[in-house]
Amino acid sequence: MTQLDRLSVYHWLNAWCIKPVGGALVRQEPEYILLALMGSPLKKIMLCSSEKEIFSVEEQVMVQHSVIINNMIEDGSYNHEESKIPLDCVDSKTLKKVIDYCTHHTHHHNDNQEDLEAWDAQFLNVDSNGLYDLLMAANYLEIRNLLDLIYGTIKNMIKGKKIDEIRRIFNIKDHGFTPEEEEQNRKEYPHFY
Amino acid sequence: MKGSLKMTNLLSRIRNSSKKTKTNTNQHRNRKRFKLRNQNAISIPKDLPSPHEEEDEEEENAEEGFKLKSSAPLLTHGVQPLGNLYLNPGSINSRDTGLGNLHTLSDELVLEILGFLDSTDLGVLSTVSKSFYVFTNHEPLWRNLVLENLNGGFQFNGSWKSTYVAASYPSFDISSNALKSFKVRDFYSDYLFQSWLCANLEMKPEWLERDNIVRKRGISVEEFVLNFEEPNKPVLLEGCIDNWDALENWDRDYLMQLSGDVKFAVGPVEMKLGDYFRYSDQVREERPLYLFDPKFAEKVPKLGSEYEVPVYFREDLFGVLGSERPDYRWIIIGPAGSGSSFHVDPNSTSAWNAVIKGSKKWILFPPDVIPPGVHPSPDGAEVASPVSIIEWFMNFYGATKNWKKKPVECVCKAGEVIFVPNGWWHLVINLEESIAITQNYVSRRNLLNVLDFLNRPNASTLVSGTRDRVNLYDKFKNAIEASFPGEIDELARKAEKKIQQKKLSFWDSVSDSNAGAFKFSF
Repeated sequence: MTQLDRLSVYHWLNAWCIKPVGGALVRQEPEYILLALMGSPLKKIMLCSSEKEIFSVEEQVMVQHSVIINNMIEDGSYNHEESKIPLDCVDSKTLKKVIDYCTHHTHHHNDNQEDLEAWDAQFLNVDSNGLYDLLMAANYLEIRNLLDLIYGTIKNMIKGKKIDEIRRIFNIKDHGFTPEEEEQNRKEYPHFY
Repeated sequence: MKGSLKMTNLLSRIRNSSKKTKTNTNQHRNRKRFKLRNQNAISIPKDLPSPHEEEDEEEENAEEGFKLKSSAPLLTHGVQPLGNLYLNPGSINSRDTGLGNLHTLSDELVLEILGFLDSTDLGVLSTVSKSFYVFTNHEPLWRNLVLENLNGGFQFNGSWKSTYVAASYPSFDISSNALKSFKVRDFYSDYLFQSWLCANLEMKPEWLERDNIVRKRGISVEEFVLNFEEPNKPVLLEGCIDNWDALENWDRDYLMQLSGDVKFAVGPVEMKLGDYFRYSDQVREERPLYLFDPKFAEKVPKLGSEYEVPVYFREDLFGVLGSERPDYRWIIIGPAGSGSSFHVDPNSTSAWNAVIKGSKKWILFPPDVIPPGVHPSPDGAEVASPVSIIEWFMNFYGATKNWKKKPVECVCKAGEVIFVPNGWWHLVINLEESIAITQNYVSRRNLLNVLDFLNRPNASTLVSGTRDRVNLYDKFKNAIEASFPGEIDELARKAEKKIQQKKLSFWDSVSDSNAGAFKFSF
């Protein structure tokens, strides 16, 4: 079967992915069904969140994005038959997001810049704590492009804003300055307020 | 009564905090900083004096205390290590309350974010909360802003922040209240505390005690080659630069007179010598900028004329490449505390280092022993040794006491020359302001090693000191063939013979010890 045919079968199957019953929760990607039909494996690896939920991901996808996972695969410490990679610092919700990001960017890397940026913007439309969880996960896994994306977003949250706005955005209730210190700041930097 | 900070038992409790985790993931991390593992609290007097007040006396605890540099400013902004928080039940960490939603991030991540901001943004943030005030005053942030925006053309003004503001806003009055420090209470952060600590610690006397290098005076070149260069062992040579004009002339005033306005290579930038001295006089930081210039003799020919290569190192085969040879000689100037953390010299060369003024502490490990805390990548292209020199001493030096293969250590003083054999790991720290000259070279003894190194498939990343990395192997080999025809083959033959002899004797000894067992013969 040619590459094009596989892709169309993939899309068809995407709408019909089967989830196994019982045992550990495993996300059944359409690739599994595809490979069962095609007989040529798309290598998968298993990632385990801090909540012990197991996610199966294409190896290529993670290796392309995460330096940590790439190193583990390269130096052979990951055994495809048995192992799963425990990620105790990343919860399921965040891990799913990370996997979504990596998968999308691998499969859509030929898309034009605007489309990718639009997708990224939509992707980061999360509640504020979700954003920082994502940052910590991307930092832990060393996913450079996701890190840059998030740093850029946070930088824009700060740039050009006034003090009250920043306090609101980051939910800072107790700024910790004494009344005298706050007074001093207002006097010296009136344009920050 | 001056407020005195008692570092009582503080650092005697800091243990090497390499956390052994079961997961494999941690093996692959580039450790950013070794975290402080502080089991006990540090007693800090409740009434902190104003941060302007300086410690005039040296604080030293009788038993295992650490010496703070005299006039280390009192804990900047009152940052305390995390250990203190855990022993104050009910205490809130103002770090967290002041960061809002960002408090879940580690200190390193918060600082990474701040690293993307310009000076105005940092200024605004410093007034958002006390916590941000502490973070935005982290000196390395301002150091980066200075180095990126002003290159080497800056007049150091006591602190990096002050330097940046003075240069960027010349009409702004530095001495005004604007830069007055705020006092901070209840702020606990290991990273920021240790950052301050490493910037202000002095070398402990016991780190300087061990001096086990072989010292020789007046030996012949043959003796040097036979006993040290050939077997690849370090040695400290005394008296071999006594005739240098540099030894007599070079001091700060002389160099200023000769080249005060010349720009020398300092870390990532180039700076006028005068500006560099202004910086090095005032600075107090963990990794001070180091003047390390490979073109000093081209910039100021007089400097090149006032020293000569000691007689032991005159055979330098990279010389066949003429002006195309990689960087090979450097002038090194730096304040106390500056230096180089663990590394192996490039291109598999050997080196000598002569101290002209001041003194340096050296720690050397042989090629097959990786220093604790150092993690070279498998191809050797990168070394994940993010620990600064002082941090290495604090966390790892003690471990070497129990090792069978102890490192070679010494303090090299003015007039002495140390030989660093190729492949040896070494760490150097200036104990006082120092001026030195160092050269890397290739003699017949390590010619084959160097050729091998340059011929490696990843030469383009590993080879250093030249723009022409990929072709260096060919160029060098051809140049050697031209000047010393047949030399490479001759050396290869000798090396092969040695290996054969070693093999022969090994098998002989094996078969002898198994009398009656079956014997090999070639």
